[in-house]
Amino acid sequence: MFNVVIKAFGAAVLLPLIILVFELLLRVNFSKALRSALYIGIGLNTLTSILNPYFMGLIGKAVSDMITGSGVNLPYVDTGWSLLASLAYSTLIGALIIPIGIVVNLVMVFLHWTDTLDLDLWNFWHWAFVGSLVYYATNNLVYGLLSAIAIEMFLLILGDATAPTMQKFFNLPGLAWPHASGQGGTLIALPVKWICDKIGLSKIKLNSQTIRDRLGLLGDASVIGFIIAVIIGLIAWSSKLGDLQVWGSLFALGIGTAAYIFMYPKATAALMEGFEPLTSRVSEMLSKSGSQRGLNFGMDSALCIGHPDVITTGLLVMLTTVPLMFLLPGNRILILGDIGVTPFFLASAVTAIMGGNIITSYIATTISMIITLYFSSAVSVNFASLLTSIGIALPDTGSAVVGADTRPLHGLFWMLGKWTIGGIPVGIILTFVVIFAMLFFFHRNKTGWYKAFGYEEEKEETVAEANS
Amino acid sequence: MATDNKTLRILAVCADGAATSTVVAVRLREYFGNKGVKVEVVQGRVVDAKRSVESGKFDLVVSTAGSNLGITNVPVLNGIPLLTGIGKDQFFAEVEKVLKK
Repeated sequence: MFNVVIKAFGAAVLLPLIILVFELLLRVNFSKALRSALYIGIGLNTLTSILNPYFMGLIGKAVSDMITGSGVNLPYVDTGWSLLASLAYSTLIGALIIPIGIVVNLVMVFLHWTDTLDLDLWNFWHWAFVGSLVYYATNNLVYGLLSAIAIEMFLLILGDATAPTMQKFFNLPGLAWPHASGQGGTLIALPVKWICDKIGLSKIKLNSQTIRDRLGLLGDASVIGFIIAVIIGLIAWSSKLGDLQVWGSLFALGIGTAAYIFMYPKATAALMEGFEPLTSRVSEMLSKSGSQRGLNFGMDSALCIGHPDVITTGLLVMLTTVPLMFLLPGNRILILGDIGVTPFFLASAVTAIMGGNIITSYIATTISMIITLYFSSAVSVNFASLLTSIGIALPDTGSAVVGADTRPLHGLFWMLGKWTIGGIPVGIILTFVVIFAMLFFFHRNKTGWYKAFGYEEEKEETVAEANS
Repeated sequence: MATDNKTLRILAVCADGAATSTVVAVRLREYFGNKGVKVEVVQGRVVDAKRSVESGKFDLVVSTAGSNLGITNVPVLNGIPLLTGIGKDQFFAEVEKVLKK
């Protein structure tokens, strides 16, 4: 039923309606609610209207030519996370994720299973994205919902476990980051830190400012987008480089890609503006009682990305990703839209866990990026047809297809969610067993976990304790 | 200092120039709109903040991604209270104080 409605109306009409209903239920002022719903529609429309000409006219053809002409088989093109968020909020799970997400969080708070109250409603889309992928892969709504709930619970626990480290490192007391992309590298950082501590790599300190100054022009995501596009063009049209026209297309492709990376945050900004009244209303309702109980407020990992060590790690990983995409065996995705996003988000929690050590942060974030490339290659196989089936129109561009930039935790929960043996959802059962085991062990030994996630107690504190 | 006929120019920066800076921009516009002060909020990425300030003639910078941006000629405030709602009043008191100078 919902799928019929969404097909008839399309995401750009349905999502604004859903948000409007929520806002009116929560008694947001009517004209404000109407305006915000319209902005969500504007955001979704802007997104497809910059995506389609870019994809159809420029990158689609080049990637298609690259595959047929040279055998470099990278058919999936990442066009940025806004499209993933649009997909996530345009399914039945997306329509339900805000009330469900809030209820699950409140129940966990009530049972003292978590000290994080996630006020970052917009980023519930990550949970809905995983849930929607599982829903469409298994054709089972319950599995989809359980997967969305599982990643939420998992992230709230990770949010709790990393909060002391991240609060101290970023100097942001009272907050936590149950953000699926920002925590994407956390599980990888733990063993990397352990090994690097053992072999002494953690002791080598690099100055992040010097590295950044040396990178100069290469520190700009639009410049990197230009370079990747020109590489694609050179491979695609290598036999025709004597033709001046080809050089024209080559640079048009480069500038078009840089422009796309520049423009797509503007569409996202409209989406965010539409979401704002709802977020604001819910925070208003929840934050007072939350601060009375001393809870940490869940926030967007974007807050951490301005830190100089995170920027430096992110820049280095961004540069490393370019050759990796072309050289990693089995990789099928070109990260373009998110080339200036994913490495930085992955670096956020990792850098805090590493205490700002650039070398170890770089290693852990690069591994996370490699995992991202493989998950993205796997998820992208059905991603475009999923988009069309929920009413997001995509152009036909031959061998090139829109792909999904799927970060480590999204990929992990997608894989577990759709894993069934003889009709039994073993993946989901396993996930919940692990989640409850984590809860049990975390609450038995919180300090031990904080330490494992990089927390170091200040010397002054121990002195103060000894004195008291 | 902003007088009634001058438009206040504020740069709102966050990690990607799209997500949390939008929330900051909306709340600043709402606040100054209620007071009848004309305001123009420009959004940007935190890595570009220094360059934008050099060329943009801003009265104030509000950042959600750290306020240590190497900017000296324009006041920089931490915009996180606008996201959490905690310390929002102090934030606006600080804004008023900074703009009076």
